[in-house]
Amino acid sequence: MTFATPLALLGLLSLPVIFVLHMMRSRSRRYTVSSLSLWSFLDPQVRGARARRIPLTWLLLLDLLIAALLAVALANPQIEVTRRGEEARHTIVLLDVSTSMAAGDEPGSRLQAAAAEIEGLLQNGGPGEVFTLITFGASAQTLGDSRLDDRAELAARLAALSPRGAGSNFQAALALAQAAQDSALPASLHVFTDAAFPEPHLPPGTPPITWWLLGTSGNNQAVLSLAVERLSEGKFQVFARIANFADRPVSRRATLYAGAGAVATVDLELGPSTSLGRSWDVVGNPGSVQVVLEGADDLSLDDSAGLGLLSGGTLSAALVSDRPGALLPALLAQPGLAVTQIAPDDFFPGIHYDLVVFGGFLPETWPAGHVIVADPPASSTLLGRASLAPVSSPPFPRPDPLLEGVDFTGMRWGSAWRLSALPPGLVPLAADRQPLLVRAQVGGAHVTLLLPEVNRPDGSPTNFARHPAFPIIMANAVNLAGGTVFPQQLALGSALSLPAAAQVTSLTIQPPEGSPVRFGAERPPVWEGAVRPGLYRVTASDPTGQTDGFIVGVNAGDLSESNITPGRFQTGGGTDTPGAAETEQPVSLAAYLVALAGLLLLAEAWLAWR
Amino acid sequence: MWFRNIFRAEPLPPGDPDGTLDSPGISLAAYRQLDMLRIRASRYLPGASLGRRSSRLRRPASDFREHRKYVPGDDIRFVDWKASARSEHVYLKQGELPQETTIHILLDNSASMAWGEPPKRNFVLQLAAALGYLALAHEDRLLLSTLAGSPPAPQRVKGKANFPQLMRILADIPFDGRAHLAGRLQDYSKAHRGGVVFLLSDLLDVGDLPGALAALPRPHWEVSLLHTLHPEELEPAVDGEYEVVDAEKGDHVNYDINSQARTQYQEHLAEWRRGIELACIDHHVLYALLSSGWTLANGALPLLRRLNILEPV
Repeated sequence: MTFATPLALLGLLSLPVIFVLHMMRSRSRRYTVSSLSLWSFLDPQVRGARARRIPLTWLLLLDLLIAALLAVALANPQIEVTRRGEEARHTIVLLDVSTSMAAGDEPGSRLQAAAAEIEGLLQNGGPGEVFTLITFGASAQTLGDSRLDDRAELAARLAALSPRGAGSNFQAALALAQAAQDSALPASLHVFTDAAFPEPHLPPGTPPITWWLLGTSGNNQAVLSLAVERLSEGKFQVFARIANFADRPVSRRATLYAGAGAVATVDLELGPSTSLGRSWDVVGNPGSVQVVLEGADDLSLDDSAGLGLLSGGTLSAALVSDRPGALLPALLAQPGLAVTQIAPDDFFPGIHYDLVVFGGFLPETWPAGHVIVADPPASSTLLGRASLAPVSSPPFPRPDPLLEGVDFTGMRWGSAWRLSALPPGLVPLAADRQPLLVRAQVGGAHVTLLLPEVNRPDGSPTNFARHPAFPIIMANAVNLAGGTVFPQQLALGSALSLPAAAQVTSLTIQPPEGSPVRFGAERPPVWEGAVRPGLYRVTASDPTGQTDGFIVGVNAGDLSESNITPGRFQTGGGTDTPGAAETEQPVSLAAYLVALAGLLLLAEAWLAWR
Repeated sequence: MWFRNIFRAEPLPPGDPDGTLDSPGISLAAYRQLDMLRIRASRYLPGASLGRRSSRLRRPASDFREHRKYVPGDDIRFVDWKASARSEHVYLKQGELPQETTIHILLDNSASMAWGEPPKRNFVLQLAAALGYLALAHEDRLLLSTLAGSPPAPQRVKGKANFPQLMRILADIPFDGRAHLAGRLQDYSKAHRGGVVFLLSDLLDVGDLPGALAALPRPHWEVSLLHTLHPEELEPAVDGEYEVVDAEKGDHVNYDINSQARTQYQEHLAEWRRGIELACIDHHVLYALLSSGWTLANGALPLLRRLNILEPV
């Protein structure tokens, strides 16, 4: 037992004072009699001649006890009480939901085995135990907390979990756990994982960790990557890399599906921990290709990989220029862009193009839609007079979609066009108040002005059109023009970017299993439902009513996730104690002592007044 | 109307229906008993004047008691001619001459009588009032005197109509100082011829009791010693160490009063009472121990009746 304020024990000095007061009270008791002669037979006591009898009365004993209790209570005595951790503690469960957790070397799968263990923890937890469930894959998120949700609800969410793709961001999960930790309770971390990530660094203050390492074998073969190269019109070459993560040789048969039918089959002899590549030629455009490994291993998710050849719609573009120069190759390099080169004299504004690029020429009026202007003419009705002016200072870029991914390192700016009638709009790039890139809305036209010299004359010091930033800027400008492009393939669990409702009015995604997902005008920027491998068919309708179809392959094959050989972490960092089973907690006795003193005070009052 | 006074109830003397008075008042229950009692007194006690008690004195009267020889000067109307005819002498018929008896109430008004809760004084005053009432009701002469303080002139009261005066006298008695029993009684016996004496005292620190009782010898004095003690004096209810203070003298002594001391106290008290009783027997004094916790109706008067100090009318 310890005392928080031991100085208050000086209050025990009141005990002798109380004793003396009782002696004085006893000494001062007087008894008046009618005559002392009736008592004369008694021997009178001579004061001081012998020790007085200690007045051991109940009142004295109670007074002494009450004073002692209050003095000790003031000193705030505390005792260390051993409490079982189950009674009140915070158990934080970190559950790995990466692709490798779908391996079937545990009952059901590693994820299901972990969910069963966690459900057991939930059921066996004491009433005062707090549970926080956090899942982590490529990102970490809180699945639930028993302070907010019922434990049955947490168990239901656990049962509905499925692998969420590659990546194990354990540090993010650890940060979430520390943020959710109840500082008033002893906390413990329970990590359910197959350790398919490097051994983490545990920051100071990390609660004790119990590693629940799942997985027993590493027998897995996977299609790690799949790529398609267009050889010529109507001919593709498909390349696949297949790896064996087992520690023994394995024979698997790989089948290439083009569209719905199998077009080739090859038997593969895979050495232990090796990979090999295979390529196939495919004639025509089957819409999609898929490589499937036949046979069984512990992780079936990565036994196939597919990609879509209908990855995007065609965007019509017109290049109106006498001297297209660097503009033409930059436009032709954009996928899904059908470029038509038109002489300025042949340009007719009535023909609709998704994108019109003017080089050294401007019409009388802006065409509707997206317009890119490079090297404006010296005089025009739309932009006024244009004159070259040297760029005297390094430009300052601003965050803008036009400059996304653009690095101007090594750029020599030379001169840039200065316009007398610059339309008001955004200036993503300017050098000392001299605009270099401008985006403006003029009537029904979305105009992008490229004011640095593109088709430079000989001797011009600028390298704008030859710098790697130029095609990226052009690609960004094309993207701004509304090209709807879906990726050919996507890693399992990754988010699929959805086009804006202005470009695609209605969108439908048909997963390989289950019902289609439809998006209207109100839609999220990304869709995170690609949690099963396979071919996802996307149907998109633009405002004109034209409907395009796309195929996106969602693949689980990943170098780290497909290697399902269970890792073994050193439960180090001094945090290897699985939960604080018992904790020593100080308990103050002051309140109990004061209550006892109050009861004794009542007893004394009863004794005194009865 | 004139007849109202005939049927109007006689006003009761001052009293208290409950009999729990601090004053000398007498309860109604005690009055009812007193109306049926009188103080017993010997016929040989000297009497000063006519009263209602029979005496050894005779007078010529028609209510015949005895004869005596005629002497010249006697009223011939009381000559018993028939008896004289049968004898050679002339006899005179004589009747009894009723006399009064003097009732002396000697009240101990020392400070110790004011001790106790309620004080012994209350009970003693009520007892004196009751005895005085009996004396006045039976046309005896009542002399009230006190034992402490300077010797007072005895208060003489006679006649039932003077009972309120008696009550006032009792109420005005101060209880202070010490009683000087022997000297006071010796002086008292010299000043008075005799009578019935009621000595009301707690006998605490009264000095030579046998000497005092010897001052009032028989047959002229019939003394009743009404020894009055407080219940707390009869059985103390204290325990522990006390500074015991004498209420009369103011002396104080420290005593350790425990159960053994209380037992010794009882033995000491009994021995003291025995000494008093022996002194009373030696001097033909009636002794009665009274507790001031009693009431007249239920305690004191029945005891005095049993001891023949009081007798039925």
